[in-house]
Amino acid sequence: MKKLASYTSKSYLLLICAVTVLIIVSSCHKEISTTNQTGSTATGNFSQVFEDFWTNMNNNYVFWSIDTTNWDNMHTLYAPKFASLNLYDSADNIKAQGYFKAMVDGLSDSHYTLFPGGGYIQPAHDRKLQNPQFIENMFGTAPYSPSVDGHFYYTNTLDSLYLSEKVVGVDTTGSNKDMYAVSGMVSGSNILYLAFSKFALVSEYQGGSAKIKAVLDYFFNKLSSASVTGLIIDVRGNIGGDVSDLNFLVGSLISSPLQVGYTRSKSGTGRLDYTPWAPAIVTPRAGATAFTKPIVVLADGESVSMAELTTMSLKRLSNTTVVGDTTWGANGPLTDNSVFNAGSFNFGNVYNNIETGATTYYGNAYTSSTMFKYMDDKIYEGKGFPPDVELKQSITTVFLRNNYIDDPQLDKAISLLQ
Amino acid sequence: MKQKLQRNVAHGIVMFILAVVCNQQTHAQFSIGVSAGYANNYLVTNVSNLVSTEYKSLPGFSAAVPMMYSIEDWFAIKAEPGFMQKNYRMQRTGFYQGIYQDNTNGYIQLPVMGHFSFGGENLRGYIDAGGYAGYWLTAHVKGVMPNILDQPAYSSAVSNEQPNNVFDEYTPYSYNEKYQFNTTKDNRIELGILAGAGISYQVNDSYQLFAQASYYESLTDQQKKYETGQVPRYNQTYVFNLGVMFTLGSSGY
Repeated sequence: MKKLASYTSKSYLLLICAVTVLIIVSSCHKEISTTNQTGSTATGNFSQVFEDFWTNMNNNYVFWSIDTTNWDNMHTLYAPKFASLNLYDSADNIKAQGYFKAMVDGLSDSHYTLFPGGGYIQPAHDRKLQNPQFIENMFGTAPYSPSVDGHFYYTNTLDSLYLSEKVVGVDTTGSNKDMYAVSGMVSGSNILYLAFSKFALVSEYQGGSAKIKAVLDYFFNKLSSASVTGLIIDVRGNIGGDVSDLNFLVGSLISSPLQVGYTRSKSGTGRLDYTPWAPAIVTPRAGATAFTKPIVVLADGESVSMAELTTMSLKRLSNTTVVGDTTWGANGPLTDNSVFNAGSFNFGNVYNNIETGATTYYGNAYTSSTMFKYMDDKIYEGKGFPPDVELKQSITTVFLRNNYIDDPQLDKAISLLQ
Repeated sequence: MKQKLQRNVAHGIVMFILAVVCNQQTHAQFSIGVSAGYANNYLVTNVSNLVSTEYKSLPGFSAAVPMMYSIEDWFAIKAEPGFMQKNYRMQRTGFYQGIYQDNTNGYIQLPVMGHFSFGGENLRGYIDAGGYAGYWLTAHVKGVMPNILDQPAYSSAVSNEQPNNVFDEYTPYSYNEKYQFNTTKDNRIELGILAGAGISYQVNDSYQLFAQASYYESLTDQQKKYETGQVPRYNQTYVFNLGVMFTLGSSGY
């Protein structure tokens, strides 16, 4: 009985010891700090603006798995630099622009545009400026003025020499002001041609410019014509736009769903937290029949975003050849940050107007919400999609002399279809 | 500081076991058994920066081969090598309701604990306390997400209908696939502590039945330290097991 009592007291003693040890050890958890939703961190000085930007980039940028920028190093390097700046000093704000530019210069995302403190930083565009051809296209002189972005294929003039029958539309008002579209038959052939400057086809077709709608109606009518022997879709200089145009345009050339690749986004706060890859599918228009005649897509270094996705989608068809130059390299679709908890964000909540409820942010980052991977398992973000037939050209080779146009890429496209 | 504390605790436990084993081997007895049951796991982390996002616990199962070396009739050293699922769900709320991901994670682990028992000859209660080491063996994800590049076919009808849910705007993509471990991110070694309580019934000299509830708390992050300002993730698992133990022999001297 005495022994039993002894065991019991030892048992209790040991149990108390064990529980105490467990409690002590369980307190060894690293503290989990709280974090704020995008744009909600109040920032009063440059150090806080920097931290908010760095953290939002860390959490919302979707290309960390392929990016070569060492984001941790950027924190180490620039945290002390920003800490020495005054948010309300104009000279310091200029310094800050330089720091931000240096931080984001190497990012893969070719949509990426940073607007810090009223500034404008677009790394992909800056990289293009290293290319003499791009500069020439932007600033070179020609009989027909190139646009400020180097989009010099204004087919208003081009079509007059290459197209025998044509419909031209330019939106002169609204959110797509200056968007053009042209469709027609290449002179002396039965080749159908379509070009347009941005992807806003559905919105234009359903309630935009009647002239652009007329171009698209012409195109779709001709597409079903038995006399058409080939098709050229010209997305050179096309700046991209609405993803719903993919089903509208490519969907009119296919009769069954076409998988063109995969997309994935973020699944959590961590830099490498990713969703699975979801199939990227183009869905045919109701009643569409497959266009089985040869197709040539004309694309170049100024074919951006949806222009690239359209090129890659059409390339999935066995009857398509891509002619021109490697595209811009901005393939990742964008949407509201809250859909995937990833992509574009505001940073540096510097002022809240209590009367209007408006928040003033130090800056905004425009960046993809998802990463796109093509069917060949390659990611062309930051690299661009290469053509089957590479033909580089510049404004001086296209516009040879007044009122005479030679477009070697278009010549090649026509020769492939004849 | 943390390492020193853990070293001291481990040292104390070893010294205690040696002292008990060396001095009081009159009741030494080895038994082995099988157990299986239900495991409910919570992922402890912080997603307050993510819009309309929360983590929920998910059920799973556990199975083990408990081995026990009884030193006194009230104390034994117990190990329970086995397999345990530590599942959890990430889900969106509000407008984004319907987006979710179920993470099914399988761990092989080796819990080692002190086993303190009390009560009568046949029916006894007990309390376990100890630590465990585990290896994240399998991972599977199942869920639904918006598919940004799988839109409905073009329709000429212009709609001004308000969306009630994210899937009024995006086609849902359902997936059910093996998770590909990321060697940069995923920490597949898990160390933690455990505590448990149960009752056992000695059916005869050879075997006993038991039912126990245990709590496993990971002390290691589910991620390697791969980024500045990383938000850690810890598993917390509640397990309810039923089992049977067979006595293999004793060394009463």
